[in-house]
Amino acid sequence: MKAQSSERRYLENYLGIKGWVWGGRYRLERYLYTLHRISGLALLFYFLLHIAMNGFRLSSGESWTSLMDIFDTPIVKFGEYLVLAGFTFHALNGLRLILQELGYTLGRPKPPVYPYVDALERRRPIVFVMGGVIIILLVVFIFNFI
Amino acid sequence: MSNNGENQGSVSKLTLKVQRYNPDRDKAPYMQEFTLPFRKGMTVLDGLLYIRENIDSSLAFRASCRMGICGACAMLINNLPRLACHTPVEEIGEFTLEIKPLPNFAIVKDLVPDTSSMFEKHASVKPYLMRDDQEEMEHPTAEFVQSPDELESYLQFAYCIKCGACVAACPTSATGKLYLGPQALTQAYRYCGDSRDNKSGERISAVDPYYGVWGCHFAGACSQVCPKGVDPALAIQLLRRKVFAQSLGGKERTPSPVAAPPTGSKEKIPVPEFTVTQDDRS
Amino acid sequence: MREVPLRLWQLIAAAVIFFLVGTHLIIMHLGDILSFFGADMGEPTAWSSVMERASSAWWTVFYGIVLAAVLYHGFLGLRNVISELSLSPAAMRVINRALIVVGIGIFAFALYIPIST
Ligand code: HEM
Ligand code: SF4
Ligand code: FES
Repeated sequence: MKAQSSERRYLENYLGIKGWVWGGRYRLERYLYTLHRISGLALLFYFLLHIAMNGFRLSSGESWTSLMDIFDTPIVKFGEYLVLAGFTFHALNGLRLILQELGYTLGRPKPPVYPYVDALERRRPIVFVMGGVIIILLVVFIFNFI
Repeated sequence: MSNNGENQGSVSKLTLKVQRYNPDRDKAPYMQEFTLPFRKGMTVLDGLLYIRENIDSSLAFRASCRMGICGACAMLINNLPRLACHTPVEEIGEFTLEIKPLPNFAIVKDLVPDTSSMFEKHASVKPYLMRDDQEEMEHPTAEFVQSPDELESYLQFAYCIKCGACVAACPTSATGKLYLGPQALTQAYRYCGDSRDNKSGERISAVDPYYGVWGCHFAGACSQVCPKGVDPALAIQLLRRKVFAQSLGGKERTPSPVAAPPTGSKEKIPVPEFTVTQDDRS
Repeated sequence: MREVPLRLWQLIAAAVIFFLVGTHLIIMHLGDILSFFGADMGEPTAWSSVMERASSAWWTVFYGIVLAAVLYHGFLGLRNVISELSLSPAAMRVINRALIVVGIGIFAFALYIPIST
């Protein structure tokens, strides 16, 4: 009967990778985090693919040209648009993160007086402007693909 | 407690779906539904207390102050970490609530999380004043000077009650078991930002590894759920700024001086006889 | 080892990518919009224009910097994501070294392409 409880292994309750994506009823920035991570990893994947594709240039000019011909389809065009979209989002959100993670644009700490408003919420306009610019750019980009 | 003021308004019943888990008996957690009378102004904690007193005395949860001070009663209420005592049912606006223990901690039983990991991380960032003048620290002659402005630059972060809601909300804490988490990192900044302290370098070394400040990606979920308005996400960015600044050659501040001994002030009020004095305590 | 310098360079690399890859993407993928503004770049993926860039020292330096910056930023990012999975220190060491080796290998291969053709 001695100190059994201290040896008991409690049940782990981590949300796991699901917790990166699914957050429950959280606000915008938590999902920007998710999107930034997904877009970053996707861009990295595309970048490696891109290098492999360029490797075709090593064999001959014909193989490059025929590769470019194969890629002249709507699906690849759409993929190209997605890469651009992902880059645009990751770049602009990344710029916001660089500034804010260095402590800029966030303002000073405020004594917590109810109802509490935190720094991200006070600076919500930054996210709105960023989102606006991203949407405008993505719409403009469409014209290049039609 | 349940008999006065019952049945006000149109809603008279409250349904709580509570996650149960008894490590001695159950293989996995399961949900159990309780229906109880709803009373106007009732908090989620009131509901849980009602269950324990009238329906199932084996329901385990933690609570002490029932006024948002002790930080014991944080739990996942309708998918958001909150203090049960600080959450009126009407504020949620639903009368069927799903209550689970805080995620990103282990479960001890039912709604009781094992928050010891958080307290260990909290201790690891040296959450106390550190200065060079050891003699003054141990045998103080007067208080350290601090202007209201200097106080406000960290005061917000000093309101933390260690409830763990922020850790439960944090996506990095969802997988990173070593990650210091919003609670501990905020306390690291609370002392780094204190004008009376001049050893932030030691704290910065504690938060510099990959499982320290770098685990934060500014998702801001911690600040959304903190019941005390602490804004951990802001503190972590300011802390990160300090880490960068230090690595680029930033110097430690000169800590605020000891106040001059009071001159010409009013005479001290004599200590009444019935008060416990220093000598009695030892 | 301290983590700050790694992260500081990741942010610097991000700023570099922002401008250089931005330029690259506009030239390669947004030709129609560019010519709308009167800057006609021709067909950027045609063999002749690819070779023209590859033989220019400026473009080779440009691509070298882009490569280094993106590989560093991306691979460190990947390593950061993996480091949050609570793997064992031994596994983490293996992954770190593998990413460094693979990253340098890809850099060498990718830079060889414009240099050799
Ligand atoms: C415009 C240029 C870019 C900027 C301004 C930028 C900015 C950033 C920033 C600030 C972070 C850290 C985010 C955080 O702390 O959570 C980050 C992460 C990351 N970036 Fe970029 N980035 C850029 C381009 C790229 C590119 C081209 C790639 C693909 C190779 C990439 C891949 C990644 C990855 C994989 C991460 C880690 C994601 C995470 O930790 O959640 N980035 N980026
Ligand atoms: S920072 Fe807020 S949410 Fe986190 S432990 Fe402290 S009081 Fe709780
Ligand atoms: S019971 Fe103390 S904070 Fe809720």
